[in-house]
Amino acid sequence: MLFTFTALLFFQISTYHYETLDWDINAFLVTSLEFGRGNLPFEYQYENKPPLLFAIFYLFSIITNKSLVYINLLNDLIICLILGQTIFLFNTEKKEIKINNFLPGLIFILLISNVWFHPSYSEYLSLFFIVSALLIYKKLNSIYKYFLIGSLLALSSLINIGTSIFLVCFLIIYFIQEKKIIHKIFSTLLGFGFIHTISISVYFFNGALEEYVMAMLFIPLSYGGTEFSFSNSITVFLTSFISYSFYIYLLLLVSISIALFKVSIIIKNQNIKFKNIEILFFIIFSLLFYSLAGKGYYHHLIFFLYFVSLSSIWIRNILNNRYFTIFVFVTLFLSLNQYKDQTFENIQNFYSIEDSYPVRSAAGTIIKKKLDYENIFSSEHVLLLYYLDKQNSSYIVHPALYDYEEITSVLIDFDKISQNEIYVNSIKNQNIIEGSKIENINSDFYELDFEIVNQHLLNYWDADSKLKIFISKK
Amino acid sequence: MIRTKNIAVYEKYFKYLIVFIVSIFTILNFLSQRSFERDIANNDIKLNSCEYFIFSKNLDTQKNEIKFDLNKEDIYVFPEVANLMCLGKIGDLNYSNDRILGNVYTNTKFINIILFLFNSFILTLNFFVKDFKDSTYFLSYIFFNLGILYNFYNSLNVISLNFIFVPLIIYFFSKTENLE
Repeated sequence: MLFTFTALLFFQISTYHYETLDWDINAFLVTSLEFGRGNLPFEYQYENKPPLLFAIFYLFSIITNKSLVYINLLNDLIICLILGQTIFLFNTEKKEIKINNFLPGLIFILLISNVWFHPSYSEYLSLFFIVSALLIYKKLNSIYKYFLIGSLLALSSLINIGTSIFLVCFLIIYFIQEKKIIHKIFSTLLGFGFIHTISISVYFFNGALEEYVMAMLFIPLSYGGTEFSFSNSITVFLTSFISYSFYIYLLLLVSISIALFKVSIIIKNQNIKFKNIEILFFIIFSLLFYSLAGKGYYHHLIFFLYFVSLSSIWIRNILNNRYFTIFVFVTLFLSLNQYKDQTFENIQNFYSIEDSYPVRSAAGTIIKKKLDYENIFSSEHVLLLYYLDKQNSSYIVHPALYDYEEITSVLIDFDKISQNEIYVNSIKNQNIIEGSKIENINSDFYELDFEIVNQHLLNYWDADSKLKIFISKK
Repeated sequence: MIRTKNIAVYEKYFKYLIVFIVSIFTILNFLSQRSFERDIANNDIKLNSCEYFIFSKNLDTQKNEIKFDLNKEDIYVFPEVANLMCLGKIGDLNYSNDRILGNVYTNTKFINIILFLFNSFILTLNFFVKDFKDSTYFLSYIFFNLGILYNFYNSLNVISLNFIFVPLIIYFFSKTENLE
């Protein structure tokens, strides 16, 4: 088990020298600070995720004293917990743990070893609750079992609203595997409803029910109208995957094949009841999640990668199992070797790694120079607001959300933003990205001049990205 | 498991039919490529579209000391069914500074559908029809997929790889794993 955790951390630590791997996380962090100001998410700041995610990120911020390295580490520990749960998902009643129990976890580690899956995405936190529900379903014998499953799924949906579809997945599994399902369905829905009632009540008593309904109901529903090509997105993902590592791609292919093989057995035997059939439904629903999210972001595939990695437990032939295990370990060692230099460097510099973070150092400069940062503008680097503990001047925290009409249209309907604000923000974004029409901003703002050692570490995706921060001349 | 006398008879013809169709198609394309190379040597390239076939992993290639700068061009095959004959062929050729510019006609979606349907079909037959022998499965699988690789190389993408290998891995599991 220690080996599994070490392998995971080995991959994850390799990118700790980047302050920002994905600006989604910056937006989560900035929004999470609303709790510290006595506000609820959506009251004054909007980010496109349910409130529990921000509560967890706020908790992480408190525990780590706002250290991004330790926040990353905490998130990696969540993945470790998921791996721990996975080991116990398939152990036999004799409670003996075989090497086979570790295989799904190791495959999952390999599938998420690429930097695309390193940021602290909400999917990992949701996955933790979903796998907890699955573990309880498979292992617990208690009258509260189904209520607990419903509650855990509700917690997951309060981190990532799209994961609510796994509630339907559980209900289908009950239909297939259980007897006296009415009572079980009722208990599960009761648990699910109970947690959501608490959440709604918190917003209701704080007078922010309208914002809650807008963020949790109207905006997710508006996603249904977005154009999305499932096959094109999957093609793009697989093409990127094959160029990342052919061996890991092969591992994914074998895992998918095992799942499809199981489907063919169901058709052949005309019997849907067999051991661990639930995995098949989770694979289908995780693909449905990707499809419903409708954006084609790789991190929407985290559920699929997790559940498809579980399919390895269906290999029964001893020889196949042996060869597959050898293949997994060879791929693991080859991949670990690929990351070793950067990982060791980051481990050696672990305590000073944050000193090289550009936005943190910019925030330090602003505070040290005692600049009046009441009217600070940095459209791309919202992380600055996190370090300065400031609200964003706009209701929308994540700069990219201005480009999603399905979100902005609802926010306009609810009088949270204006059409002009969307226009201004898009112009400002263009100015900063292209760096050509910066003088338009300069009439109102001056560009902050500060020395940052590691500008190149600002953004993993765009090495040429430069940190530009503007302060109001007023 | 389905077992009928008719299927046993058709199974024999099926593999020969696949081998025959793929071989004829491949030979014609091979001859077309030879003819192209000959025309280049004689400096007598026909500029008609879909006249020549070319198999090359690299689209910026060189044949008989003449450099090629080819681009992929996706063409519709429905409702323009006649375009089917153009897949894998080259067209829109013109000379430019000792270099031949042109397009290779492709349709990834169509080739992927063909791959998916055929490989799933023979796997299903092998899985459910007792008289569909393993040797027939393998012969059909190898001939068909190698044929696609050679004749439509530029139409393939990573999804095509999945449609080629996933059925083979499933076949492998169906032979080695306990089916109950």
